[in-house]
Amino acid sequence: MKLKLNGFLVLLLALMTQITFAQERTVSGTVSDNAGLPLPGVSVLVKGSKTGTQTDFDGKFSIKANANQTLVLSYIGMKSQEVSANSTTINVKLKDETNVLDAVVVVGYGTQTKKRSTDAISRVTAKDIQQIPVANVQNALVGKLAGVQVTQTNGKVEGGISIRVRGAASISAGKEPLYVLDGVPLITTNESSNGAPTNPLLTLSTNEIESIDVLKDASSAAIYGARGANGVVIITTKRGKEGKGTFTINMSQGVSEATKKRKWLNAKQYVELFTEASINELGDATDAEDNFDFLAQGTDWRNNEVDSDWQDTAFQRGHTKDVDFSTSGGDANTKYFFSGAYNNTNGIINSNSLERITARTNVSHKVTDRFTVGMNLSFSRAQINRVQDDNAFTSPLQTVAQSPLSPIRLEDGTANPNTLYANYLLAIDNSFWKTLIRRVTGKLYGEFKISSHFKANSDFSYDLMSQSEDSWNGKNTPFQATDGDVFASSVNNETYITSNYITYDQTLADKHSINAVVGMEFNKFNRRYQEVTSIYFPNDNFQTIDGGAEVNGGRGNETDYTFVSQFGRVSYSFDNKYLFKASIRRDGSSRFGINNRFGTFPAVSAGWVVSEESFLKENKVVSYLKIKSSWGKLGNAEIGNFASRQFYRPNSYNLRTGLTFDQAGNPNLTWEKSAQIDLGTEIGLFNRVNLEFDYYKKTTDGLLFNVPLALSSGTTTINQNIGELVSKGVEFVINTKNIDSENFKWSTSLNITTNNSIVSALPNNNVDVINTFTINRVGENVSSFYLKEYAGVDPANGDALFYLNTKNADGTLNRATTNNYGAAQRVIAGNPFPTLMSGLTNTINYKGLDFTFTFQGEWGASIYNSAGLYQSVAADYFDNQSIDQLNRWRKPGDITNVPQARLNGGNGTGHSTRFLDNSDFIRLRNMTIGYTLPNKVIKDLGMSSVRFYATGVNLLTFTNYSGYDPEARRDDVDGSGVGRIGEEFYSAPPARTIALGVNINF
Amino acid sequence: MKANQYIIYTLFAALFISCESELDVKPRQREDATISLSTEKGIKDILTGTYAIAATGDTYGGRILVAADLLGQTGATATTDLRWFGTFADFRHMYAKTMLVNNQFAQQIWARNYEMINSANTVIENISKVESANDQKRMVGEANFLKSLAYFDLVRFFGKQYEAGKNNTQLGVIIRDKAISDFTIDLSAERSSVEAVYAIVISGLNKAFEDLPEDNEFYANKYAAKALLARVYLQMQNYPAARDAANYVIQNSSADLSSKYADAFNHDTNQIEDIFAIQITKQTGDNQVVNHYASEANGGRGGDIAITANYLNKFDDVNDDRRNFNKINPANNRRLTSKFTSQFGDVGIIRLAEMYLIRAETNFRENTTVGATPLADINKLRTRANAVNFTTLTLDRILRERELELGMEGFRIHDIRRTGGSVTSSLPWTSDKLIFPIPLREIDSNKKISQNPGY
Repeated sequence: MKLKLNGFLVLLLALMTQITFAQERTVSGTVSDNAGLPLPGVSVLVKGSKTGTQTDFDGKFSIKANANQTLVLSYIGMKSQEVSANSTTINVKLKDETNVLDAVVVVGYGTQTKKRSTDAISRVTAKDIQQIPVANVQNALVGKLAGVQVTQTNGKVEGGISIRVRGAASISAGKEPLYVLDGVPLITTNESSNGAPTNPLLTLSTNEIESIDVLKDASSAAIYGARGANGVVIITTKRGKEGKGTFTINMSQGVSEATKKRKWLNAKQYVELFTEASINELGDATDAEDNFDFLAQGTDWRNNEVDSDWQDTAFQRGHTKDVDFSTSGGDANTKYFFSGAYNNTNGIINSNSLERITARTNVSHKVTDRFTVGMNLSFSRAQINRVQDDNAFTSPLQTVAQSPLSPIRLEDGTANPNTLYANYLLAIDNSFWKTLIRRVTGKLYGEFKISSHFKANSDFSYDLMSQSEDSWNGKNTPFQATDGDVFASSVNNETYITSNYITYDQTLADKHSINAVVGMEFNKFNRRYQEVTSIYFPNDNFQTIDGGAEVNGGRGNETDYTFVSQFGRVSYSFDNKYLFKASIRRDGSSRFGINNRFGTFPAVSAGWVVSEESFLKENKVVSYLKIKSSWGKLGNAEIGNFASRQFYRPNSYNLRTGLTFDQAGNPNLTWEKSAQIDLGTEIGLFNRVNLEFDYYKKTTDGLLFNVPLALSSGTTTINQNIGELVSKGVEFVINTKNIDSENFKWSTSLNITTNNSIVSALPNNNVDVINTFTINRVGENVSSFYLKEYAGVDPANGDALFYLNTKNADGTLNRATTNNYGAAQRVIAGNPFPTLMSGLTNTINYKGLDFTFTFQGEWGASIYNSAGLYQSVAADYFDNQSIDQLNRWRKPGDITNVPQARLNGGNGTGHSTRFLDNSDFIRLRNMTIGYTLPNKVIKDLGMSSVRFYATGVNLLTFTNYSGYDPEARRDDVDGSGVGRIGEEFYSAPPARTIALGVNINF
Repeated sequence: MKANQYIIYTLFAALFISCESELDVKPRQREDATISLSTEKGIKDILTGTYAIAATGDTYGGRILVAADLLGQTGATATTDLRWFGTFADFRHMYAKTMLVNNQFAQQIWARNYEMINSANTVIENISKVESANDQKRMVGEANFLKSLAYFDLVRFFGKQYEAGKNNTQLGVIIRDKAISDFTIDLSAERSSVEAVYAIVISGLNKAFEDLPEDNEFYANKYAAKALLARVYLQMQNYPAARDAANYVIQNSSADLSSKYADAFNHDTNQIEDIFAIQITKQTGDNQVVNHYASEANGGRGGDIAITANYLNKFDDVNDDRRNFNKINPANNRRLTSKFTSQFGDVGIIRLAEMYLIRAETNFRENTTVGATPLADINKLRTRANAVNFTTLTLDRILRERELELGMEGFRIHDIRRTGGSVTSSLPWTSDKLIFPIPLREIDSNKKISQNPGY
């Protein structure tokens, strides 16, 4: 060993001596990008020296170097390249960093080249996500990552986001991945107080993000142990690079509207249908007409004097405005990146808007050759004007239930207070709900080179999410009896994380390459919440707590959790051919019961780069071929902070202290354990086509179940670790360069994912776990729809029919129909999760023009419109009905799917497959056209590039779903605090946005 | 290099040691059950907490009253006494007798009452933690009272009517005779017979009557237990027992009729006529009768339930205060009762007027005059309401008087069923549609339970 080291030193010395004696002369050339466009601002450095320069506006450079020296060319977003300086004229094309096997992927506590990786990691970089006019980062990922489903709950600007990596790994515990920003596990608690979730990562701006890597398999995610089972999303922010400073500014403005509006009855149709319903059920029209009189409020409903389109008032034309800038650069010792961004989004829903500022600074400094320190720091502020959750009468979208006979506003312009349901405009006019999210995330780090093969890293990170909510209801809001009320809350979530790790990196005898990491991490979280309400206000000018005559309520609480972890990882590769990796993490958490406090999560993986073998090395067709496999165990610790304990909570009566049973305890409760195997291959053909294929199988056992208890026990649910869930599927990615000529380039990226998540074991000897209209049953998809099966209408009498679906003696189902809802049995009727997902992105460059579009599709899922019970029930109650209800049965012999109209008749109005629909869709998710001005034009303006672009989101949707949108989901949580699955309920469709922008580099 | 390594090892070691102790994190808003159950104060607080459960809007905060009156309505505008205008479909289904197995309000009445029962059982089984024998006695009395209250409403709503002189083997509700504290085991159980549930209710109230003091602040006292017993016996058509219990309350309790009818309603503390009321404050409890019956100005939803001419026409005297104890809501022209206009007012559960009505009816049926003649009792109520006194009585008149005096206070459906009446010609007292379905949520998590016929 010592001998060898000495050998190296001798060699190095020899090289240096040579340099000293070699002849120095000027080397010049041009640097261009893939499309052949000159690249200004590229850093050109003589390797191993301090000599450096930058390319000018035409991508030209000149530098003094010796013939035996090497030039290093680097530029943000491009793969760095080294060229020999032996020629005096050098023209270089830099390649994009994306989709190149040599791309570096970010893994926990380090990085790795994709070529040598045995992991399943999906990656997007800045170029893929920037300039898409969506207010949150996650939404920009839709359709771009194989195996990753990204869904925004609905069209509200602050709407919660769900990300499922390779299908849900859990049923009752958290299903969201762990987010790690520059090594800091982010706080992702939804802190909304009004029922509908907010997206806690709304405070991130795409302009500060360099890349997002999603760790999907156990091999990659096991380093995050008890928190990795749902996958890990690693976000890396931009950093400065050595070279002349750059300054980039980007501005865009856009408009948006709902992707769809539905058709409802107009006044004439409404009168016709309800009159008929009243006669059918009650013998005469009295009941209907009595209500028409009330609804019409003195207007002449018989002649359709008023014909209100309530739906129209619920939507508004949205606007988006984005301005962001960044500057970065550095020298050999100090590197910097600063950015700032402003976003202002007026949503498509009446009175829903967002205004956000973010800023970031990332600075690092080499104190000595061995010691580097740095700090990443960002702050952000997002102010959201919100509307009520989907289950509130004053939620704008619920206004579609109002009768078209009711005037929307009175003559004096105030909202009509006498409507079927509370007029939400009274709330819009006389109340607000403002949510303000402030966030500071920072990391101070040091890196110390102990020796040439050892380095030590020490990080201290802090994440603060501070949210305040202010709600004011004026005198004239619906249900107001206290002359106004005000609610104010404030919550601070903070984590501190210390991590220390040592990395060993060495290549022995040119063939044995070893990389090892060992370290520890400590994570402490605290959440502190207060709220106060006050009532009785002098007038509507007073909108804060102080204005109220009586402070009538207040709450304050605090909760914590901690994690203490140790981890290690070894990667070994032999001759770049045979790859091995093993990692382990031991996590202890305050969340787990005292007997189950620590867990250990191992993973191993191996790969074989077949194309490095002699028989394939020179092959003209197969340029790269790797096969790999991995196995590992992960945990899901998102079970709540004190889920195992049996609790009483304060519950006072008439201002006397009281205690009430709060939570059924289970002393053995622990994290969910997820074992995952992955088999994959990566193939490169003709250097133009890259294929990736992965098969995965994720088995989660010890599933945390919020098992419904018999209510007669006196409590509702208990947390149990019983049950098993198996998710499996394949992921297929193909990246091709269809055309790659000087002026014209066309590349395509297609990803296809299949997923099936099947329940394989359940608590209490596999007893079905049923929640209103979903079921978890062994052998069936997770949370399958479980409903009575609607069989249409009896042509003889207009009764709604249901299939009996009782068991026959031979075990088959009795498919006879009945008009007795109670007699029909429930059956498994659909899957709330898609079984097939795909994304297709095409990028075309022609000279200065660029054109990109992404299609996204999902198949196999169903969606249950639980508002159908009110919207589409042939005038059972006075809610306005969807237009299809006009096809009701009217006389014997009518063949239709809509039963006879019966006011209060309950004709087929119970939960059934009548309101279940297939939600397959294909969507033109994003399309961008850009034009970069020729350099000649802008040279004199002091700019290095100017690009104009037009971009759009959700431009086209192809679906047979009859509701608002196949992706829109109910946003309030149910009684047990669990988010709804596969359900639409007056849920707003997403926005279709078109924006124009300009991007300028100096 | 060695020195560096030592420094790092030391740092690591220090961090590990200091961190592991950080794993002991205590909850701050809740308390481990073992702690709550280990002290006298804990048991006392659990008893108070049982009242707090009762005070939720789902049950005695109001919806249990609303449900009983809605079930007793015909559901047709032309004939109904109370018209449902509200938007809650699950109440509308009670009104229209089209309830489904997942009716949320029925489910919550089921769930909350069992929550009360388990809480009361917990107090009884842990009473040894309380030192004073007097406190023990009183607390067990209160727990038994609350338990009986819950069982009685459960069996009335979820089981078929008790028929005097018969073997009431029809299914009632589940009897949980022990406190449940281990929820990891299978807790499935079948419903007991109506007979068995009534037996539990009566023995509980008898014990409560013995144990409870005459005066017990706003908590249940001796007379609350006796008064509820009168109501229970009446529902069982055990008229002599009902009569004697009602008479006992009238003669011995300090309660009296308020001087004016209106004074019996809308207050924050118990008044002269209250025998038992659920206490509501701005911070605790949830008054749902106001929510459903009152105008928006009074803290309600604008009048989910309005009084119709049919109800007013039941009064024989237009000057009867009770007939005129309502107002038109100018916002929507609905006639709303004035009984529930105080958003944070208490919810009356038993008031003395009911005892007079029970005594009158049972004396009349038994042809006795225990305490007073039926005519005197009825006229006492009518006099207070400024209604013309009767000179003769019939059973129908007495029953009608109950409708006039106790309307919207949660009696209607129970009276129809115990007297063999009917809601409409197609909805006789025996109808399946007049009792709640066993909640689907219970059926889905209790393997042993049977559903009611018709669901």
